[in-house]
Parts: sequence; C-alpha cells; structure tokens
Amino acid sequence: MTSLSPELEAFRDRVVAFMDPHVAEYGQAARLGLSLDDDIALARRWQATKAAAGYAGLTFPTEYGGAGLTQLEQVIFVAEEAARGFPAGYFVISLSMPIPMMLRYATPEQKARFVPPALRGEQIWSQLFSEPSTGSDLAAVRTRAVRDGEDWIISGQKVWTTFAQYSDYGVIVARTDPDAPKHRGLTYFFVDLKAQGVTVRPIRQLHSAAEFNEVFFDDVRVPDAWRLGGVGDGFRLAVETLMIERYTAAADETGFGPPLDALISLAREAQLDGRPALEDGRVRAVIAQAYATQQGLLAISEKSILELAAGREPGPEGSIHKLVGARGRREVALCALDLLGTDGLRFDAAAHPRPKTDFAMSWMDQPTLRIAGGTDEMLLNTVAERILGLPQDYRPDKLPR
Amino acid sequence: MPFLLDDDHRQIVQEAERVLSDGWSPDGLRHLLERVGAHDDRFWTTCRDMGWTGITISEDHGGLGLGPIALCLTAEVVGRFVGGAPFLSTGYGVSEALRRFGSNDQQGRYLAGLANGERTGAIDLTSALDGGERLAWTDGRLSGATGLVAAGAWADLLVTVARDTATGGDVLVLVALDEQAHPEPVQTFDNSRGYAVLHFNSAPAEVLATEHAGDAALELLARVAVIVAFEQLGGAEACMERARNFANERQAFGQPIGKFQAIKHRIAEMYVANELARGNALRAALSLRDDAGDLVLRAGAARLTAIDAYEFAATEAIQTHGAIGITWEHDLHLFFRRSRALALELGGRGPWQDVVARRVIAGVAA
Repeated sequence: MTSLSPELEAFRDRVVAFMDPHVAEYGQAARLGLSLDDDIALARRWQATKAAAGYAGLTFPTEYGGAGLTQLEQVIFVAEEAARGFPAGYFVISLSMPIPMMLRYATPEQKARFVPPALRGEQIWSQLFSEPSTGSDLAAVRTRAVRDGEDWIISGQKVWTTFAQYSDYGVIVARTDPDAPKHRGLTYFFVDLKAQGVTVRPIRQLHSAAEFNEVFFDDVRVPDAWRLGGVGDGFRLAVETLMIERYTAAADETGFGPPLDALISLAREAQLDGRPALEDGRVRAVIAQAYATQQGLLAISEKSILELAAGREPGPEGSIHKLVGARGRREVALCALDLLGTDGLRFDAAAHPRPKTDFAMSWMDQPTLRIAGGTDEMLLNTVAERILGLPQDYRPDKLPR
Repeated sequence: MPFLLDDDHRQIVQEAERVLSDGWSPDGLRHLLERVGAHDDRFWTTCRDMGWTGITISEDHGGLGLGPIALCLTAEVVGRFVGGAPFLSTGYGVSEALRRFGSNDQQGRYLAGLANGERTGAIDLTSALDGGERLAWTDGRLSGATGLVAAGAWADLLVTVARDTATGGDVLVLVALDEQAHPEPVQTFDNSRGYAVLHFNSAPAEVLATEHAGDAALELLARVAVIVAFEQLGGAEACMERARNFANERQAFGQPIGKFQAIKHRIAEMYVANELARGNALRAALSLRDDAGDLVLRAGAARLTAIDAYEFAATEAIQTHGAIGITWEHDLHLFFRRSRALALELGGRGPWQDVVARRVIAGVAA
C-alpha cells in the first residue's frame, strides 16, 4: 500500500506552521457571533494573508500570483483550513470555477488584470448558470446575448447565484443562437456585475439569511473580448466548469455542520430519563454511526489524494461527500435539537448563526446542501451512470431532431 | 495516511479471483444450508491449497508471512463468493492470539498446524464487547458453555475469555477442542457457518494472558472484525454488481429497469455505502499492519459501515431482482443470510456502537 510522500507530509507541516499562529485571529472561535458582513471582511483579510505568504491559488501559475503547485497540495491545504474553521468559503466559487476558467480561456492581459486581485480576496466572482426555468437542466438557458458590433447585449434572468450581492464579476452562459438545438446555441462570457443594467436581488432562504440571489440583465453590454471559448461553445464550457467543481469539492466530513464533539459536549450536559444523555443508547448510536460515517468520508478523501498523487483521476468523491455529509449532518443536528428539547427551538436569525457552529442553523441549512451544487438525485444519477454503467435517464431533449 | 494497493496486493486479489471463479460458486452452498453443523470442505481445501490459512503466520512457523493486508484482500474476494468456511477469519483470531500472547512453546505447538490448515481455529470473544457472561476458569480448567461460536462444530482450537474463579479477574485462554469439549451444533439461518455451543466440564485450558485480559480479548475481536469487514465488503460488492447487471438486462415497460430512478438510485446508494465501508476497512487494515492508531476504534468504524453496507446491498439486491430474488434457487439469499450472520457473530451493531461511542466520547474533554 502506498502512503503520502515525505514531500507532501513536509508540505503539510509547513501549512500547519503557517496556519497555527493565525488561529486566534481567523479561527472558528474568532468568528462566533460575527455578522455576515464582518465575517466576509475577515475572510478578505485571511485571503490577503494567504496571498502574501504564497498560499492563495496553490494550483495557479506563479505569473498570475499563484503557487504553481498541484491539486494535492490544494487538498491538503483546504483540509487544514477547514479543520481550523478559517473563513475561506466566500472565495470557494471564485477560485474553483470562474477564475480557473479564465486561466484556461482568457487572454494574457485579462488574466493579468483579474486573477491576482481575485487571489488576494479583493474580488468575489459568481457563477451565473441557473435560471428560473433551469436547474439541473443546464442547457435550458433562456437568457439571450445578441451581437451588436464589438459587443454583446445580454438580457434575461439568472437565479440561485451564490453571493452575487457581494460579487464583482461573474461567468455567465447565455443563448446566442435561439434556432440551434438547445445544447448548441449557448455561449460563455464573463460579466461585470456592477455594470449598467445588472440588478441583484438577494433571495431570502428558509433560514432567513440570503446566500443566493436573482440577477437581472437588462440590456447589459459586454465586449466580445469578454467571451470565453467560441460562439456556441457555452454548454461544453459550463459542463467543464462544473467538472472542476466536482473535482475540488471541499472535503468536510461533517457535511459543514458542527463537529461531533459539539454534540458530545451537549449530551454531557443534557438529561434523558433522569440520566446524562451521554449514557443513553440512542444518543450513543447516533454518535457512533456519525463517527463511522465521518471516518469513512475522511478515508475516501485520503484515498483521492493518493489517487491524484499517483496521477490517476479520482472518482466521484465530491459527490459522495456532499450526499453522505449532508445526511450525517442532519442526523447529528436532529439529535442535538432533541436533546435541547424546547430550548432547541431557540433561533435568532439576526445574530447570523452559522451552520458550522449552530445546530438549529445546521438543521435549517441542510435542505440547501441537498440541492445546491447538484441535487442528491443528480449525484446519484452521476454515480449510477458514470461509474456503474446504468442506463441514462430518458432524455427527449437529446433526441435527434 | 492510507492507501493505494500496490502490485503485489493486486496480484493476490487477481489470483484469488481466478481460483474461486474457476473452481467454486455459491451454488455449492445451498445444500449445506439444510444440514446442521456443516461447512464446505472443498472450499476449505482450496483455502489450504492456496496458502490462505498461513498468510499472516510467519515463515518460521510454516506460514507465508505476508501480513494482514494480504489476508484482508483475500477475505474480500472470499466474501464475493460467500465462501463456505469461517476458518479464514476465526483461525486468524487464534493465530493472532498466539502471536501476541503465546509462549514460544505454545506457538511451536500450534502455529504450523494453523498455517497449513490441518488445525482450525475458532474464537468466542464477544463477551469482551458487553461484559456478558463468561466461562469459569479454575486452576487451568474451563467450565461452562459458550454462546454460538462460528466454526465451533469442527474447530480444533478455541480462544476465549474466561473468569478466573480465584481472583475474579478475566483470563484469555486457549483450549484444545478434543474429546473434553462437547460441541452442540445449532441450527441457524446460515448453517454453512457451523455454529455450535461448546460445553466444557473442567476441560484443560492454557493461559494466554491474565493482565488486561478483557482489553486483549476486545483487541483480538477487533482484529478479526477488520478481516470480516473485508469479507462483508466483498459480499456487498457482489450484491451490488448482481443488482447492477440485472438492472441493465431486465426489461420492463419497454426499457431496462435500470432506467427507473427508483432502481438506479438504489444501486448508486449501494455504491456509496460500499465506498464508505471500503474507506474505513482500509484505514483499519493499516492499523492492523502497523499496530498503530486506535485499532479498536478504527475496527469499530469499519465494522459499523461494513454491516450497513452488506445488509443494505443484500436486502436491496433481492428487491431489485423482484420475485426471482426470493427463490431458493437464486444465489441472493446466500448473501442475505451471510450478511446477517456476519453482523451477529462478532457482535452486532448495538455493542459495537457502544464500543465506538465510548472511545469517541472519551476523546472529547468534559
């Protein structure tokens, strides 16, 4: 059996040595009770700190401010970052989808202009794919882009755009040929979300915070130079973007909920049948099963790192993580809320509770996790079709015309 | 940190698959189910011929000295075929007990026979999980009855934990199951495992450990549980593949049933459960190899996810097959029985959840 190389272990040691002195300022405890705005401000400072130390954009080329390392170092870094609860989430979309796509398809001038500031946390980028009429059916995009001299005029509506209210730029897929078959008439651009004609409307979610937005494009002018890839190539590029996402899906075995330790601490205080809840078999079963699941996910992550190191494509680890992590998080959160009894009802949205530290928020946010970034059903389809070779769903939209 | 298989390991797996694909199928198991105290002797002969009985036993004692990972991978292949002889895992329990706690003399007397498969071993250690009733040990003699012991109907050696009537403490003992032990074969839903209750009436038993004997017994049980987790994983994989193949072939309403998400998602769920079990099993195997980490905790995580994966796959593979899956003639009930048998014989979900919870809780400061 192969294990991680001494070089990578040494990299991990360096990362740990870099991070530990910053825990007091940026770690989990420092973020408790911060408003969303303050947390984002903290995240920007942490991103700048990483950039100054050469740890932002680990896989990005050095000429654009990156570190020129591999996915492996990236995975190791992200795992250590997550373990300390540093605020990195606001830049995950920017740096794992739009910016890598710019690096692949934009001109050198554009890369030089956009990539370094994004790495320093000065810009946040959005991904504008979903629309009211599309979800998992990405090719059903209706937002139009019409050629006008050297520019394109974009009109339409995007939705479920993560952090668009804080974003400066985004990548968008728009229909440039309404007569072509639906998968072929799309083109991929990047857009200035502060431009004339762009309206961002936050969507309040069931837990009352707004991570997602509707974004309206009302004759927004975009230069042709901001097109990525060929005209009509948008669907392919969008799928490519999503594949990067699956590839880099963050590996947090708690499903982004509070750690198991928090449930144990709670169960130590709580009583069931006049005994400490920690002695209750039902609580112990939840703890044991959650532990076993989380360790299994951790092992899958570790294996995928080694697969990468061996030069092999990892499998659908990201999909499994999201699917299983979200379920495990629900079990843990429900157990915690049960132990709290009626106190479990307490929830103050104005205090901006975070799903990583607050059980009520974790439970309320769990439906989101099952949908965002690919529904459970789509992930199961991916596993069934791509790995197990089961037949594809009936797809009349893909039948030859 | 885990674990990619290297070429040697891949070769072990391929060779085991080749031998079992050529010479053995679950079909042969069916008639064993109707005989109490049965086991598949032909399968056991294959295990002996292949040297699987001695994989982890050192070359000094006639084994292959390959280490536990080779045995884990072999057990996974065996699990794919619902192998009909439990000795591979239970014998490992006995040889490990001897390796860790046996004197030179004891090792010299027993290991070679275990390595070549002439002697077979069984373990009775589940009382270490829950503090259940123990056999009584007085002045080197064992009395009382065990619970249901896998391979108990024919094993030559048993490792168990008993209560020293003089001190009240636990003692880990080795007992030769000759005429002094009275096996009472028990009819079960998986008769191919040879379950028996063993009755002892002042039978001579050798001491392996007295210090922390309860912990030693639990660790031995955990070691066997890791091997069995691979066997469970193999069974779960086989069930998943059978379900997948059937879903691709079987047509209903004008299309393969695998097109229906109710079917395809269930099979994808099997894959997910199997991958979790595989991840935990591999981590636990590394703990076995390196004698590192909290072996009992890792074995517990492996066991819980392996129980879940195998039972889910076996149950839902039958559902995927529809009525054909519930017939005696179809192989799936062999997996279905085995999934529950393996879940019970080393201690079920409940006691293992408790072992895991106890350790996880102890790791979180009050």
